[in-house]
Amino acid sequence: MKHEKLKKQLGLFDVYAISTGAMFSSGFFLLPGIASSYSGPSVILAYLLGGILVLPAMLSVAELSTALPRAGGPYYFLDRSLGPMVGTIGGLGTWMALIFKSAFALVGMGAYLGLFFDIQIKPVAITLTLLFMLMNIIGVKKTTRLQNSFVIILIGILILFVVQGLFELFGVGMDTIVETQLTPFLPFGYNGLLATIGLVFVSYAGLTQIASVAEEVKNPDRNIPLGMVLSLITATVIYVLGVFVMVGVLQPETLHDDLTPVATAALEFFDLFPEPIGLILIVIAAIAAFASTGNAGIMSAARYPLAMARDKLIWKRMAMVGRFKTPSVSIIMTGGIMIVFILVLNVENIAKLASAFMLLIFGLLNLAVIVMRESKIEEYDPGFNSPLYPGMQIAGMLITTLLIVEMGILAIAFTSLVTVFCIGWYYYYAYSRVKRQGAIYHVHARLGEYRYQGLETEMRDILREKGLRDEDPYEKIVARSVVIDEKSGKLSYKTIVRQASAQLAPRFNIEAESLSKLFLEAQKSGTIPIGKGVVINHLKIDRDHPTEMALVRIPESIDLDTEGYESLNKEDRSDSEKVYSIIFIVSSEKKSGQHLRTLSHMAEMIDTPSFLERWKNADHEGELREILLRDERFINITVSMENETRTMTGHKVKEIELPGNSLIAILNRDGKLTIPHGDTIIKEGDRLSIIGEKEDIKRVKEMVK
Amino acid sequence: MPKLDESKKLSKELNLFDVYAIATGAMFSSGFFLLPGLAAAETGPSVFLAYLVSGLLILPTMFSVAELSTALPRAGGTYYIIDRSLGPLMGSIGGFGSWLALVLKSAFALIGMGAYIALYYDVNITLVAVILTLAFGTLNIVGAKETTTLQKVLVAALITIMFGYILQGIVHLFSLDVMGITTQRFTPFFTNGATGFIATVGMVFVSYAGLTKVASIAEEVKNPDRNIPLGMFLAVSSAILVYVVGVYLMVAVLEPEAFRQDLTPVATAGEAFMDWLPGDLGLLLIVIAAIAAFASTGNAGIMSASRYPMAMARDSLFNEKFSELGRFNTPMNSILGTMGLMLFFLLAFNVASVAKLASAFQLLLFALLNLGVIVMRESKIEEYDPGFNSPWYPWLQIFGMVFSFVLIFEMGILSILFTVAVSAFAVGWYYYYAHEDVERTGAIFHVHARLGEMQDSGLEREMRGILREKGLRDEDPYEKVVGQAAVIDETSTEVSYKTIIKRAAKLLANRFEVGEDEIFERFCEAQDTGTIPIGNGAAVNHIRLDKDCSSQMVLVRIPEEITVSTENFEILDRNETGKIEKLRAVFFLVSSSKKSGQHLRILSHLAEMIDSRHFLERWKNASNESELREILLRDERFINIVVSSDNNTRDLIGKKIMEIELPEESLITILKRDGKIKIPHGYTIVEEDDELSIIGEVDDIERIKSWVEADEED
Repeated sequence: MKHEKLKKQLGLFDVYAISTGAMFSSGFFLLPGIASSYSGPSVILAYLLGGILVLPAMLSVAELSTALPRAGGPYYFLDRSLGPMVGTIGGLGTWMALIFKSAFALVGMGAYLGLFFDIQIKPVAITLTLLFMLMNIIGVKKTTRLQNSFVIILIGILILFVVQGLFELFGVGMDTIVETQLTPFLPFGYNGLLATIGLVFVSYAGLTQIASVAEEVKNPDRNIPLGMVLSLITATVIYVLGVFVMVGVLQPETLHDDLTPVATAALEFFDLFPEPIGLILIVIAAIAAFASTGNAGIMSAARYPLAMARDKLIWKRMAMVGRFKTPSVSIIMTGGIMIVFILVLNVENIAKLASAFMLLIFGLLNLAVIVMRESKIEEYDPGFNSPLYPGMQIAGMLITTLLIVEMGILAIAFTSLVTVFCIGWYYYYAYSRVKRQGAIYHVHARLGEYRYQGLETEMRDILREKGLRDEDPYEKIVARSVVIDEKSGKLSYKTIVRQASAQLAPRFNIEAESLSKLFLEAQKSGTIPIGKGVVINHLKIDRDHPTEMALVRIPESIDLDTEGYESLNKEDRSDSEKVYSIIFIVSSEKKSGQHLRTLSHMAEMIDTPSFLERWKNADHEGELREILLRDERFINITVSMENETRTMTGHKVKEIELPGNSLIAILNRDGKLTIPHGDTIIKEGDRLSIIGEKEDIKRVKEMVK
Repeated sequence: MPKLDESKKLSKELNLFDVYAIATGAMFSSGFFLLPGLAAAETGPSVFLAYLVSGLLILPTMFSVAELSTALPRAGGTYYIIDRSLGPLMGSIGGFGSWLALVLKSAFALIGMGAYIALYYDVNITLVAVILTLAFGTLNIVGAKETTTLQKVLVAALITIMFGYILQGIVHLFSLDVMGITTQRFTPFFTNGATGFIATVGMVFVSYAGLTKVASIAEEVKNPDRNIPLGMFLAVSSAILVYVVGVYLMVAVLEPEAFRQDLTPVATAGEAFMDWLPGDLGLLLIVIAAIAAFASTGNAGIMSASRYPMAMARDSLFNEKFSELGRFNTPMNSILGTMGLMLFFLLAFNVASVAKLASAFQLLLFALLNLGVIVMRESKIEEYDPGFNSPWYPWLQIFGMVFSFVLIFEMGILSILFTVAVSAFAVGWYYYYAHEDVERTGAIFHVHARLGEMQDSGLEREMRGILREKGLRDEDPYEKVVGQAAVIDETSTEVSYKTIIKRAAKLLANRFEVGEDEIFERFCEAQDTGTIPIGNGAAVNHIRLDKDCSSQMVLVRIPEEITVSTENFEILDRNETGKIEKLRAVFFLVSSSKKSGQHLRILSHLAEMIDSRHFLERWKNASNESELREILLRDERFINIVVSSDNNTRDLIGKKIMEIELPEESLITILKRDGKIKIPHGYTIVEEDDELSIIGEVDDIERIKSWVEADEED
């Protein structure tokens, strides 16, 4: 698909700056205090574990972005691996989550400024949004240059902070610190630690945002994985050491309630520069951190509508690339929504809820790697291969699932809500326009090759064991069946099929020619039972009509090649079968179950030891039918003056009252068989074949005695 | 899968009331006689509502089990269903797990029975449980009909007493001030809010789990299409009624504090209102009911548990001996094995605490059973013909799965670990014992096959596009491949596409040490797979061989174009929709199948080269072989120099190739001397006026260029 392409202009340091900037914000400047109130000094460990646990997601994203470097990365990966519905969830959902996160960062920045200066938070946030929007429209390179300076300032100041903090702590002496500040290490046990890891994990989530601008990265095979790894190392080191400094310097009580722990800690020791430069530096760092998160957020968020519009999941206009080679419509839309959210919503609360959604996306991205690899699409050619596949990905999915559960019911409910909305959008807007399928169907196709045909055979046996249902009109079908008692010795199988089709076709209101064609085709599907001298050719057609049957007796056997048939002979499978009897069954497609039950009952009947003998020796049509009927549901009576049947003579069939639902199926008068209709008058000496429920047949029997 | 051996088939002898008795008996035990007090401690008076809610929540699973057991009435129902729908690996987990869970549950019920007896008589609880195990086991061996006769007696006694209990309780309640009691005992209704209530629902839910035991004896039920769904439905209705009303009475009658610590709340409540019966008769009746309940759970448990080893043995997941039927037409070895395991648990463990661990596993099974229905239906196996169709498919099943998973998390970490451990054991067993003998796969693969039909080949094309955009990697030896390519500059105008293939195959066969015919055939086959790019007057025929060798190419120039139908080719020119292509160039690319990625990258780079505007013009007008090659090379990675005494290259004259030091990895691929082209080897001596084609990294080529040019400027 050719489309308006974005320029490749981001180098390694740009990648590093975007990932790093996206990670540092509230996770470092706000969260440590709150987190330590859940877990005490072990919050340090929680930050370290959080950084380690993000590894699987990072490796997966690195692999996917080098294989598929396209704008709106995570959306694109999910769409192409798991299909457009999951793609919509990933795309719209991540977009929303990023907007919330960026809005939150900018509001947080306003709040941080507000601590030291008397300003209005919201106007500041909105001004910043507009500013960043403009930068983003003018050019990716400009945006990232801004991002680079933010990140350099941020990292520079934080390194100073950490280094001096460590000196301070070593000055006091490690033993004292461990004793006074770090004990008890786990005041709330492992559950507290686990909950805190969940809380802190989100601080690392920004790492993967680079995937959404992957299309614009030069030499992505090297720059994306390397940039991400460098940025994760930076973040983990600064997080862990920084939090260690905070825990070491501040009293636990002070830390627990502190919403600006970095600044408070800095007040304690950060005197490298004369007062109040230390504090001002920290404030600058915090502002740089929030600003870079907001900036990176707008940058990567804007790629989602772009990518989705390219793929027809939302309006095409969003895919337009402006004269600066940036997706201007998408950027304006993103910024606009951010401003609305800042004005209308309590961004802080919702941003927290959105983190469960981010975790879900992480889980799915891990799955996406498995799907892409297992699809064995040759063109999937990642420049970076995630190590320890698939254990790494499975671990990633388990971790995210576990953490989602930890996030609490509200966050899960929010995630479900967003998911449902996205599915709704997909079916409302995109479903009819989008034809593509995810690579997961390639995986299905590969797995489908392991399909085991024995299962059908086994279930056919169960069907036979279960037998007919009470409502199945088996007796009726047999009684009504067409009987062809062939006399000629030289007949081909084809002729017989034609004859039977000619007789059955009118009943279904179908051309005899097409019916016989269907019968001949059915033969090769491996579902036609053959054995004990019988073949049952059967098919379902698209006509609403009860099942019909044709029974054919052949005086001298025809040899049939059994290949492509289902053999009824369990022990001796021979290559050809001498056939004396061919049975044709045609049912409506709607009654597929009944058709199969009838079929398997026929097979059961044929399987009885004396079947072939009786079939060969039957005198007439009626007897051929009787062989197939169930004794307890059918009776032959002769109308005679000597028993109760005398009451029938002279009456029309419709006037005769028989027990229950039983009915006269065949009338044999002077050796001629007819299917009687309501106005047929019964005479003495007529032989009637009556079919019905077990109980009713018993009563008929008694009547005859 | 052959039909079941007649000798291994169980006889059909259970009717509706038997089904009802087994399901009911399996449900009633600790859930009613022990749990209400503990549950009330979690959520207060709303505990009776928790019983109602969890009773309703079992319905999805009940419908699923009903559908599956009417469609597949085979012994060891849960196992059989999971095995056939999700495959033998999951089947092993389901089979072992259900067996273990049932054994634990039955052992626990018998311990409970002993405990109840011990409340009034001084007996050794474990001893009683062991004796009961032996007794029920023996009965099970003698016959399913005998077992269920006992079961029916027990359940009849239990249900009768419980209905009497409820009626009496309601009458008693109305004789008091109902409104007063309601306000007094039932506020606050939720003592621990929504969370406490949900946790209690989870706790109580397991009381209904016995319901699905019916599936494991489905093979023995007469007219299963009617009796299984109906029997289960009746059983769950009675259970809900007795549970909810009974617990409501307990809440109404007992002091909250006393009730919340009471381990025999039914008896305590009974004492309060069954006072009109002479002496201790009321209490005695309740003790009888409790004993009947525990006994029926134990009995039904042994009965259904013993069907699991049997069913698994039939399918060669377990030692075949377990599938044999004894002379009473019951699975004797399997019953003995089950009994043995129960005795082991009774004697070696604190069953009460171990039995609780199995509840998360039970929930996992429920989720799998619901999934089983979806898989069986979506497999569209025609022979799947359930007598009872679950309503609201698939929503009911999805709800059942989600709900079961949510509750699993409520069960606590220990229970989850137990589930993981059992599953891990079952997986280990499967791979150790059964994997090689079992060739069946579950119906889920039918579903995969159906879904696989929807695969979208557009995806491959799109990704091929990405591959082209990304281009070659630094390590790809594209220049080398082109440099070493054999060139056929055809002069005859009468040449067919086939002849060209034949000639190329001949050249390539030498390099790969593969038969000429094999390569020829592979090239001809490749043509029909739709992956050969064609367009702009060129086609790239390419194959991968199972040989460890670097990629090789043959370039063919055709003087007068050959017309080829583009059907089955991948058309490079997207705007062109013509059905034929006039070929002036045919490229053949052969790589090792181990370097599949590299092969595709080279291929897509070739396509990119062909796609460039002047390609065809340059190709037609190239004057010699090396010029043909040069068209395909990347300018920045390749240079042609003429050795002359006028510039730095004079240093090269008279040297062997292997003595010449070129920057880094760059190398001389072609040497042209007097208009003749050859691929030089290490001992070739360079002479003046030789033309050398050098390929290498971008930087190295630049250095060579400046080295040559620098001197010229001097």
